[in-house]
Amino acid sequence: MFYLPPIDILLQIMINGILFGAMYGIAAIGLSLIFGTMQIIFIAQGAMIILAAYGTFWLFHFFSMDPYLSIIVIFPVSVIFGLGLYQVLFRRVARAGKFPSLLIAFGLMVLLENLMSVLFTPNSRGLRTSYTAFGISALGLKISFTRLMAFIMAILATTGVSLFLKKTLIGKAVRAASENLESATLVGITPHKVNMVTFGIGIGLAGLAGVATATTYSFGPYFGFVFSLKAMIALALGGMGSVVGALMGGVLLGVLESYGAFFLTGGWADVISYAAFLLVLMFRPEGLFVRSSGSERP
Amino acid sequence: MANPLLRVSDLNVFYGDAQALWDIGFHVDEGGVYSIIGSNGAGKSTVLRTLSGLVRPASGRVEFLGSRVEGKGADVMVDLGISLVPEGRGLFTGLTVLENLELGAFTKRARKKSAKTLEWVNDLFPIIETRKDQQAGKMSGGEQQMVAIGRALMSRPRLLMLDEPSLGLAPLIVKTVFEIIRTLNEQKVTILLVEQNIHQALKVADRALVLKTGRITMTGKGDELLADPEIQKAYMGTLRKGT
Repeated sequence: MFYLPPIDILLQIMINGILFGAMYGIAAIGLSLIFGTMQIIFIAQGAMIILAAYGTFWLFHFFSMDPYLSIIVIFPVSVIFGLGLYQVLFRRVARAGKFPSLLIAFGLMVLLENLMSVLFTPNSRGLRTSYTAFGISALGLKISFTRLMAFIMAILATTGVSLFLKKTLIGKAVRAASENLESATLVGITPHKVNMVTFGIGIGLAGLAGVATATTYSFGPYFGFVFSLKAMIALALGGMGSVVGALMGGVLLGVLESYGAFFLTGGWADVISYAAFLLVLMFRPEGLFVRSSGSERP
Repeated sequence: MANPLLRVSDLNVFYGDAQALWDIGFHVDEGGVYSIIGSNGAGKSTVLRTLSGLVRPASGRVEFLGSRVEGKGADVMVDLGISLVPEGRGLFTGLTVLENLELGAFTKRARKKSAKTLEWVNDLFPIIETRKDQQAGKMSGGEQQMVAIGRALMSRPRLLMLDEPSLGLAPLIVKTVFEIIRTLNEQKVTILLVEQNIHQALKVADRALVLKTGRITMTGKGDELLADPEIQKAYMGTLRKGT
């Protein structure tokens, strides 16, 4: 039953996994940012991604808008949606602690899923563009064009968010608030403002991930939940609070899954990823890509 | 006499059902050093946390520059000019020293002057400039305390509040910290100081008050309290043994 396939196949699987995992990475960065300042897992992230995927789909369907071009609509709309979402749903309860926020996020996810199911029917959709089936061949390996684009988007998004957090004053304020909220308010940072910023960026990233999803897979209204779970695993692998770690966690998860699906069967891919999730949490709860010393906070 | 910079009257603060402060009243004049002393758990930090806006008082008034400010959030208070260096310093340990300082000038009022303020802070603490790209958490306790004070100064405070700045520092560094307090005071920074190092705190203070289980038991000039036999008996005796 067990055999070692030729190296080029192994490489091919790895590349598929890396490209696939980058999307988990984008979703995980959003989760990581929101977790940093609000200390909640924004479980509705996946539903947001699917909503954005529908946006991409309908823009293509009705206006023949190229999915990659539609980023200029989807991304800003997602950011604004995120800002509004925080103001309307979370602002008032953010002070009351994490639990109400977590419940709201859960409620939001269920609401969105059902809303999409009613509005867009529960049937799964897929985008068919001229380049959907297009692949690039190099060194005997085949790389799907849309997956490569998704990967490039993930790299760009990670770089963008990293630069924002490192170079801008508001980005530094986000990092400061993630690390020590009390000290952050003492220097004049308003918690609501940083929460809003992380929501804006987090949902903006969900928008990007939505475009990537729409171009690479068929999707349905309820696909988001698994996405959220996978993003959470990617976070656990990569370490909370590190943007690059989140992306690497996503990539690692993608590779694990694609080897799992190849060597065992498709169903085992999930078993492997959840098992990896638990093992990492048990033995290295700070994440694989975070230096274990240095951080004083749990 | 002119209005004091800060006037606190009849302040009552609770943590849940437990009352932490009873009818606290005192005032701080511009340009002075005011010390709050007392033993562990007397409520010293609670006074500062309330004035900084981290804790909301149940009743009482806090007037700063002539207007009522009690109950406002910490982010507003720092913009008004009250800045706290919290106990344990509260640095952003994962950020660099320079980033900590930049964030100190986060308020709109301070941001405009941040380049100039940074020069001033660098003059006060030459060590900061040489270590500006280092992670704040990797510095020694004394250096971290200087960064913490520097960060608070970046907000251009009218009133600088220091919560146990000497805590956990070696005796030699403690001396430096009090020298810094004197220097700042010479540069017209008004200081409200909470300390367990009572001898030093009273020596540096123009005025001081003694807190005991949430109530003021004594107020007076720093040197008067320093000479007071009751204070010597209650606090200094045990303190000399300790240090």
